[in-house]
Amino acid sequence: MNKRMVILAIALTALWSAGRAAEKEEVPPRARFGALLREDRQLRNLAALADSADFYLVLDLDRQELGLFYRGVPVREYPAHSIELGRPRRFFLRASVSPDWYDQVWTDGRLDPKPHRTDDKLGATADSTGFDPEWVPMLPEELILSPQKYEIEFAEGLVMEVVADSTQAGSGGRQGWIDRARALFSSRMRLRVVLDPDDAGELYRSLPPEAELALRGDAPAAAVVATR
Amino acid sequence: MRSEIPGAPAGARLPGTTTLDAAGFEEWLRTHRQSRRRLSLPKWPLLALLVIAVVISSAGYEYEPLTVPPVRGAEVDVVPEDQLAGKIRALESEQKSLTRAIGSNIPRGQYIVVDRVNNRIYLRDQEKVELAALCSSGSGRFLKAESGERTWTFETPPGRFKVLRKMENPVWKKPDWAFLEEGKEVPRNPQERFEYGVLGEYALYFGDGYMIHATLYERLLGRSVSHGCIRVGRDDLRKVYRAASVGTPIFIF
Repeated sequence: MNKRMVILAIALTALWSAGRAAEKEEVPPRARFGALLREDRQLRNLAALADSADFYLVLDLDRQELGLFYRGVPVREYPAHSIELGRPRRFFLRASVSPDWYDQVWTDGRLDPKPHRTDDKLGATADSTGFDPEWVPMLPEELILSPQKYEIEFAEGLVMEVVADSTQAGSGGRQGWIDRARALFSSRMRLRVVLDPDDAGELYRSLPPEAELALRGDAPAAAVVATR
Repeated sequence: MRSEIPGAPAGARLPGTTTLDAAGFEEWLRTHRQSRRRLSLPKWPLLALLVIAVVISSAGYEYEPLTVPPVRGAEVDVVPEDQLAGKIRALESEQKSLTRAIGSNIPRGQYIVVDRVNNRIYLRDQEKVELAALCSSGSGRFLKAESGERTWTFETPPGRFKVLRKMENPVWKKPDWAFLEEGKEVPRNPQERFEYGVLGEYALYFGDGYMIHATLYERLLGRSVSHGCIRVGRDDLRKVYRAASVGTPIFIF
């Protein structure tokens, strides 16, 4: 009885392995080539950014995180609860995504609304002289109030919407009407990234000016190849 | 005189009336039409509103999880079948070298990251965060000497630096601004510039007068209060000091 069970288990395992192998083999070379081409372009972008002297963001779809990098070095990672692409729709027709969209480096990222320091005394231009041992400055989160939802607008037309709380991500009510009006008059794609509220606040306060953005990962056929 | 309503079935009555003659009916009909005209809204604005509502309803953003598809189309299709394997090998090889090139930027071993706005210091090893702690960075305050010739802005500079010197029991050589800020005269005797114990047990010097050091004002950690140096709590500084060596990269953003 036991012997039969062992034989059956071996047979089932062999069948399962054969099935998996066949599954892997099923990726057509052309699809694999397309996926590798996509990955290659992404890597070229990242290599170019690593050579620059600017801070930049990398939206890593495999890891589901937004990372801040400097010269190829990760300095801060913000795990994302969700990453969504918003396509404008007009007259019930949804805009298509250009094939080059995924390989582009998005430059000159600007925050909207702009961070505003609530305490002018701390401004570099403030005419503050003299030593005050009792002076206690505000905490960063008091000094620069972070909105629940803000945008990073890139020069090439992409808008990254950073949402501090997933419950704010919906497009209902007033936000829905704002989105509709935007879609009517703008053809910009939107990326919606939902972050932990603390992370979203930190990113808002410390995002270096003119940060760039590149995407990384998630070309499915390449992922299958990588498991071999 | 009694009369039937023209065209109406025999015995038909208008509401609220018992009988009505022809003239009365005409009068009633005219009044009724006028009142209906008064009540009815113009048609064109309504239609325009309807069109606007449809146009607005047709617009919006449709969100979907972001996925990146493989490259498709002519660029992929144009490659002849017999060349495909070679092209794939070439791409795989190029990817390896690109990945290597990108990875070569990441410091081998530990490195220090300072978020000068949020006043956080991180000790990292590759992608692992080994320490996340509060610190104090430059206040952004501005100081002008009474003569008006010299000015200072107390900011922590962003960029890539490295540890140039590790110091135990560092002594602070007070710069001119430290005296001017307290409303004192800048001493002529250099010996009067030295102050002991204010920087804590350790300091990591990273150039141009900037250091990572401890502070007497630990209650102010997490706030932008320094003159540009990075102030860290005693226990956290011990860990950072132990981990760092001369040459350890420091990234400040």
